[in-house]
Amino acid sequence: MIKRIPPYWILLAPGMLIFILVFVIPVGRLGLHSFHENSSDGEAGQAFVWDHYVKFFTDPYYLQILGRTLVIALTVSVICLIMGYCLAYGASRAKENRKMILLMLVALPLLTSATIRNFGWIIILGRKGLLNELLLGIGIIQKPLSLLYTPTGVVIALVHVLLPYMVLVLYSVLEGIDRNLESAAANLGASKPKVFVLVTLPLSMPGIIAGTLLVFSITLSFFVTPSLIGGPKVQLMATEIYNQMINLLNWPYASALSVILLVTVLIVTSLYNRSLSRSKTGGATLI
Amino acid sequence: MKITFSWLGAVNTLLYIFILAPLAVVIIASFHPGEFLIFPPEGFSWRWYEYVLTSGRYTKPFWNSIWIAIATTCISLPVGTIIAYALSRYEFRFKGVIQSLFLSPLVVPTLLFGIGLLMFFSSMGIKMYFLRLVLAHIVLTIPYVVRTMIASFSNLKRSIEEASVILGASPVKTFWLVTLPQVKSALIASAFISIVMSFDELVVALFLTGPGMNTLPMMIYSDIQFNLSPSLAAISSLIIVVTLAVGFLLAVFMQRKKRI
Repeated sequence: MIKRIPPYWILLAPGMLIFILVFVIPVGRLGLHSFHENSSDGEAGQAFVWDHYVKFFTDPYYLQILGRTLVIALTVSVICLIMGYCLAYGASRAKENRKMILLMLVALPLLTSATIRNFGWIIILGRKGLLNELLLGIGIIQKPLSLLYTPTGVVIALVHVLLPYMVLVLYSVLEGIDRNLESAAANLGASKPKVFVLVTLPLSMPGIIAGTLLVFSITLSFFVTPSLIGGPKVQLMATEIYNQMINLLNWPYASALSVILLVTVLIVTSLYNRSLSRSKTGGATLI
Repeated sequence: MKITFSWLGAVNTLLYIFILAPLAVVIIASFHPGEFLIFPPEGFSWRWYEYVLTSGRYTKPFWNSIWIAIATTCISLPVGTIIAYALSRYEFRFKGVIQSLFLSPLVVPTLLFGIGLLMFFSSMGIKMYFLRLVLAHIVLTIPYVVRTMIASFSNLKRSIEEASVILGASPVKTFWLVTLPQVKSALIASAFISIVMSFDELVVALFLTGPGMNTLPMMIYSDIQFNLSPSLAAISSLIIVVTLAVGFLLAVFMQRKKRI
């Protein structure tokens, strides 16, 4: 006898079909492809080799790219954390009717694409850009700084792209802190900085960890900013993968680089999800 | 009136300038009358807006992006909504795994997804660029729809739906006439997110399109690299202004909803 199919499977079926065909199989094939021998046609039935992974972990050039990616992601996370904390703290302590406006000023740029925001940074950071003209005009510097096509420029633009994420995570945590605890500490004689360091900061720790991990994991695989602001001089994992894939047509090696990047991102993401589920802040886990 | 100086206020003012500066700079630069992009502009003219709207250079990529965004949303909104409904109303085995599956495009970097799809489509011989992009964008937008709709469905009182069923409505009728109207604002928000994400999507498009199929973000991306001109600033400004306006209206709408 055929059992009746439960209603939830019927509801999930169209989505499952799309996801298995267009997501699971392609991403799975990417993993398989990383073990194929070099050839651009990508037909199945080729020998199973570890070559690409061996090449990555023995060639200082590629290890340096991974190292540079990690360093830039860490720098961006720390700067975002400091700036984001100021903004989130300011918004959470503002009067009720101003909170919304302050948050929207941070969140709305999130809606415009990173490409367009990076274009703005190119106008600002260029050799004859706004920042250099300004600093030369005031007399702080004598020669124009080179910011475009340097890691510094990439960090500035990445911080701008990722700051909203940090602010939104920190804001939800800071809003959740019971204000009575701060008043209690103040009543017991603690000065304002002391209240902040001993009460507010430790209570917002879950948000700090979650926000930093979130920004870190997004930065690792970010493509647009290193490609536009960094150019060929600042190779990161994402731009190197694109280069191997599109310019060198070395698909198996691009796949191996992708798998290495994916594993790194997944480690950071699982730490992020764990840090959120341990805190009861109600922030959204990624998965 | 007493103005109190606070360090936090001063620092935050600088940070808000930092946040808004790139957008402001693009908009200001778009009014430069000359041929080359320079900042600050020397004069004021609408010339480049006229060029963007009448020259036809941006028309085709614009409509490509619009149609892709609309086609994507027409599928990801209903499919994502019924996924969210199933996940929030039924208990079953592997529910956690299935929920993770539908949210996993948030974790897998878009770049890798694009590469995987390029290999997949080329091995299958699928060359229809419009179809390729719509399929990819559906997968990218469904997680956002699912997440928004799950939150909305789990806030609903089940008793209203039960009342409808007891009064004789079929489950489909109940869903259509009782459940959906209650989550209207979440549906609007999901549709908005889906359209904006698909319209703005660049990375996957770089891999999956081919000759004759250019999207607006791709056009802007390649112009930034090879053709910095005031017309680029003008088209970017139009996108900034329209998205911010729609986003602002949506935020106000949601806020009012919450208050009622």
